[in-house]
Amino acid sequence: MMNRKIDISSKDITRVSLFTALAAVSAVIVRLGTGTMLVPFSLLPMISLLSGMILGPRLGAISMLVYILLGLIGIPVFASPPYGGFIYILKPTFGFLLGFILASWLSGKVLEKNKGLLKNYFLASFIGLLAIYLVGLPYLYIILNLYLGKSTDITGVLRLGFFPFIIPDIIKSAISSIFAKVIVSRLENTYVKRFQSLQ
Amino acid sequence: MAIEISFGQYLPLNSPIHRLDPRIKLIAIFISIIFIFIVKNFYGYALLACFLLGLVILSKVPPLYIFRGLKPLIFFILLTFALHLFTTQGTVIFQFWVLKGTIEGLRNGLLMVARFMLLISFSTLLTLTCSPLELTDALESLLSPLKRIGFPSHEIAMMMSIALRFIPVLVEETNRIIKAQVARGADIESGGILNRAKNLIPILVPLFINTFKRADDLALAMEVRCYRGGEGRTRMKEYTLSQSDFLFLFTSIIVGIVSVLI
Repeated sequence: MMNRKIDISSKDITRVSLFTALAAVSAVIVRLGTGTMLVPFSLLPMISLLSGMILGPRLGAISMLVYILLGLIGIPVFASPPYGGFIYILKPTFGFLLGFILASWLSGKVLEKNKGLLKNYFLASFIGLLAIYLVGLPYLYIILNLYLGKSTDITGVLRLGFFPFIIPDIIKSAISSIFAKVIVSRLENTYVKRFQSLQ
Repeated sequence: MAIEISFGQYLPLNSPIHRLDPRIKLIAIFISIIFIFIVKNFYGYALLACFLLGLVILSKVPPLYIFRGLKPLIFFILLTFALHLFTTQGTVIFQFWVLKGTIEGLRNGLLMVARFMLLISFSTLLTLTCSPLELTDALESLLSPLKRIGFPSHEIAMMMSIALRFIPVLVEETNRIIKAQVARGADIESGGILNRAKNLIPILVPLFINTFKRADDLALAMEVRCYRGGEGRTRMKEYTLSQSDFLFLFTSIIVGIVSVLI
C-alpha cells in the first residue's frame, strides 16, 4: 500500500512543538502555584485559542493533540493530579482538553479568511471557547453518569462545569484575542514573508 | 519570581524492567490498566498488587517513588472513599450525625481506593522506568500503522520530543524577559486581574517573537543536517523485541486474566 504524502515541513514541526511546550508550561505553572503571582488565571484555554489563531487551524489543532498525547503516555504535563497517564481519559474534565483541539481548529478556521480586524479575533476566540464547552460538557456528563455512576442531570453538569467558569472564560477569551492580534501583527512585522508562507 | 519547572520522573537505573522494550512496556501497562477496571473483587486487586510489587522490586526503583506519585491524590482518594461509604444503601454499621456508613459502602469504597492506587502506581512505574524520549519513540512505532491513512506519526513523535526540549527553553526565556522588563521598570505583580493581564503583554509578546525565532532556527538547523521527515531515517538505538519482552507481555496478560477470573 502507498503511504500518503504527509505535508508537514520542519518549520511546522518546530512551531507546533513550541505551542505544545507553551501549553505544557502554562499547565505546570498553575500546578506549582509559582505562576499565580504572575498569572491570575489558567492560561491553557488561551494557549489553545492562540495556537489556532497564530499557527492556523491544522497546525494549531495538531499542537493541542500533541500536548494531549504527551500527557497520555505518562509525561506529567497536565494541570491537575494525576498529571499524566492513560487514566486521565477517565477524568471528568478530560473532555475540556479534547475541546482544546476543536477550539484551536475552529478559531484558526474563522481567522483564516478574514484577518486584520480585532473584531474577527474576538469572534474566533469566542467560537473557540464555545467549542471547548461543546466537547467538555458532554464528556463530563458521560463520565459522571456512566463511569463514576453518580447520576447527574444536565442542569447538574452545567452547574458543575459551565456556570462557574463561563464569565471568567469569556473575559479570558477576549484577552486572548487582544494578545493574538498584538502577537500576530508583531510576528508579521518580524517575519513578513516567512510568516505568511506558514498560513 | 523565577519560574522553575522540572519533569524529574525518570530514574535511570539498570534493571530488567528498564531494559524492556518501551513499546512492550506501554502496551503491557495499558493492558494492566484495562484489567484493573474489569476486576471486581479484592482477590483480583491483591494479585495485581503483588504483580506490581514484583515489578517494582525487579525495577530497583525505591518504593518511596511510587508513593510519591500517589501523594497529590490522597485527598481525592479519601473523598472517593467517603462518597462510596456514605452514599451506598445497605446494612448500617455506624452512624455519624446524618451520615450512615454501610457495610456495602465500606466494600465499594475500599474497592475504589484499591483501583485508584493501582492505576496510579502502574502509570508511575511506567514513567519511572521509561525516559520521555523512549516513550515518544514507542508511541511513534505503535502509531506507525496509522501512516497509511495519512496520520503523521513520525512528525507527531518528533513534535513531542522537541516540545519536551522546548519546555526548559521557554522557562528560561520567560525568566530572562521578566528580568529584562523589570529592569526597565515594568511592574508585573500588582493591580487587579485586568491590570495584571495587561501587564502580561510586555512579557508574552517578546516571548512569542523570541521563541518563534528559536523554533525557526531549530527547523533550519534540522534541514541543514538533512532532516527530511521519517522516511528512511535511521536510528542510533533500534528497538528489538527480545525473549524477556514477550515474557513480560505474556505475564501481564496472564496476571490480568487470572485476577479477573478469581
